[in-house]
Amino acid sequence: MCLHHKLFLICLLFFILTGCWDSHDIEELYMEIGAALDKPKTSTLRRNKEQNQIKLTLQNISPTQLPSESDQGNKKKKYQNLTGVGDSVLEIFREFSLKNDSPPYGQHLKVLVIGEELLKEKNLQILLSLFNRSLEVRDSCILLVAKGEAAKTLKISTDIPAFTLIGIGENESHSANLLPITTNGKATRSMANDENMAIQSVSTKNGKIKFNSAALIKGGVNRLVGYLDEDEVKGLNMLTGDIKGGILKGKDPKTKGLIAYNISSVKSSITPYIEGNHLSFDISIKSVGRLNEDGVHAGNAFSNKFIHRTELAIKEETERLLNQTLTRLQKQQKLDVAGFGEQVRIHYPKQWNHLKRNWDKYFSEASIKLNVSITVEDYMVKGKKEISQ
Amino acid sequence: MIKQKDQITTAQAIVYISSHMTAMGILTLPRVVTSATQTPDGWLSVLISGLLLILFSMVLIKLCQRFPEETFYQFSQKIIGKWFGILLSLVLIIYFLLLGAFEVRGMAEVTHLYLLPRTPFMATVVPFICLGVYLIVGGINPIARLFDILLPPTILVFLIVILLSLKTFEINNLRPILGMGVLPVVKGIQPTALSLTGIESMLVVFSFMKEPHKGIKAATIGISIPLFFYIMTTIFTIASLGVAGVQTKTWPVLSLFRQFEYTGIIFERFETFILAIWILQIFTTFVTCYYIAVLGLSQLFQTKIKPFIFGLAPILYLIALSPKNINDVFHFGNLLGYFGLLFILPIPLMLLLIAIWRGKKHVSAS
Repeated sequence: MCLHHKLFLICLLFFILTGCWDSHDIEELYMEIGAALDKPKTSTLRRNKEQNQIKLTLQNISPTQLPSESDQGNKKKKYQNLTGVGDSVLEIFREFSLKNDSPPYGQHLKVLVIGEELLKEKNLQILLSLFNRSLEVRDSCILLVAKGEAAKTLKISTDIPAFTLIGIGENESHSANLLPITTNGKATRSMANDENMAIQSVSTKNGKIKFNSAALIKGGVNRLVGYLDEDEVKGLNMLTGDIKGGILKGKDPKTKGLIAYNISSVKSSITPYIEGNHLSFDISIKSVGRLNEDGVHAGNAFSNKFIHRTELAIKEETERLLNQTLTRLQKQQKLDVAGFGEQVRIHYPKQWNHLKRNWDKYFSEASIKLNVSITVEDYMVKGKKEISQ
Repeated sequence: MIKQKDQITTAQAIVYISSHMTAMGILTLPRVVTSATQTPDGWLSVLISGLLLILFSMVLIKLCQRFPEETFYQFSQKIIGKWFGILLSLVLIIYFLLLGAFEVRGMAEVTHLYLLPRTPFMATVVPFICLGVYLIVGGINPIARLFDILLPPTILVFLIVILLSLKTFEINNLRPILGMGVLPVVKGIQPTALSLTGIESMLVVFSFMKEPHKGIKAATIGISIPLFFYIMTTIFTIASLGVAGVQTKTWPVLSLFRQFEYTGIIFERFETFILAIWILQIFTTFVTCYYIAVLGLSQLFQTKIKPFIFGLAPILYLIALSPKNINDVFHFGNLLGYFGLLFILPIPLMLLLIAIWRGKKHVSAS
């Protein structure tokens, strides 16, 4: 191999050393971790009402911004909130890059909160279209609905509000009042199907936050049409079987004492029946759990009699919750978010094609039969409080 | 013309077929199939068309077995005469050129979208083609050996990542099976063409096989591996995205891997792994197409292969960049799918019948 060849090859090696075209320095990234969409206040609206329909609040963190151990004292915020208004979400993003030296970076956006005012007026699918089409934001981003202003949820007085929101959302094994997480991908899928959705909603008060209800989104129009309160959310979770933990409170039929039942598992099955024009459902809910706390002084959990009483108490409570939820969904909202339609689609695929267009109407007229069974498996380390006799 | 050392074992032939089959199609397959079926039964369509393909491949292999040491370019001239043979060979060469260019373009599109948004097409396409040139200068053996190396990690990564997607798996999205009867499944068979082409490479590669009598076995196993990938991918994608959701996504399979992330373990996101192995598989398909096209040209003109290798590279680049937008790319792919099917069933069947009728068969030199 002659010298020229060698030199040529050595020069080629320089190409290996060139950097990546798409590299970003991590110090220069402003990572979005949370975003909130709101309807702007009327004062910010321009004369033409078609303008500035969306207000976007972004919560960013930057590795260089995080305060070091030494300046913990001066209480510097760990995050930065940016706000902008515009007609489209993308437009607002582009605005941000005119106002900041490094534009926001969306790969780590974890939570998206949508304000109730905006969601009542605008189709969720249109609001999410940028987030779904672009690749920066992943489909695993969590969706929440804010009662009141969504921007406030990113201003609550915790270390980094967006992370608090995510953390609470994942507490499903501690509470039966939380809906399973709705991700961006899941919402998109439901909307593509024209399905109704229930999304976890949150409310803020004095800088504190609580996950306390569910927002009902009507499929097709994809707008907010109502809420379920905490009890109804529990009932809805029972119907869908999406419960990983949490408690149910019942009253002992004999002494009226309190009984707290810790849910270990819930299995639900919804079976549709179509006879002629009549639609009916059998719901069977089987729950297994443990007796966690009771206010019945003489209760002796070593005896099956008392266990049966607790089971009865919890069964009554479960039925009450279910009936409340079903009344709300069937009679008041006339909206199926518990997957009744899906069961019809699975069991009666041919009939479903006729039913699906007016499904909510058929659902509201269907008759539903409940069948609840509760099993108290154990009572932890203490069986009774006093030695009777 | 074929040197003695240019031979591949049966195992290599299997790897060759499956590497060639796994390509562009897999990323869009669930959408394409579900758009036709409109029910969750798409995976059944894929299964049926895969089995049909195995059946078709037997005809193709039977034809090749009559001429065990010759490529399509050589035996087609013997069967249907010189001029028709040359014409048919040219069509096959053009097909492989277009398919190779299409794979390059698909790779560039996906890389541009998911991995390197600011890198120009040229910067991904040119090295890709150059690497292909580098590989095929060495002939069939280095190609087959490279494929040997690439297939095991592909299977491993694919299985791991697809099982991780169980996090968003919803069995209700797959139910009911055959709820609307068999008709949707039948409708879904035809659009799988693009994903299932690949076996036609055997028309040429068969001549390199050390043990031609094992051709049918090689084809059957070679088709089964990608078929397994396809069915798994279709099932998991539909189960996670739903029948309606699948149809709205440009690259449904990549969307599937963006539905979930795992925090707490070293890696949080897994679509990058799928993209990495997918690009490797695109490379294998591209190299095969390129090699078969240049081999055809050199055999037709009975000259050396190298000038064609270097001469076709810029042509490939130009074809790859010719579709104007992503929809053109998809249309291009569909057309190629049907084009490929032509070489899988009707042409081999016709040639086989003529060969039997005219009693044409390879007479071994000994």
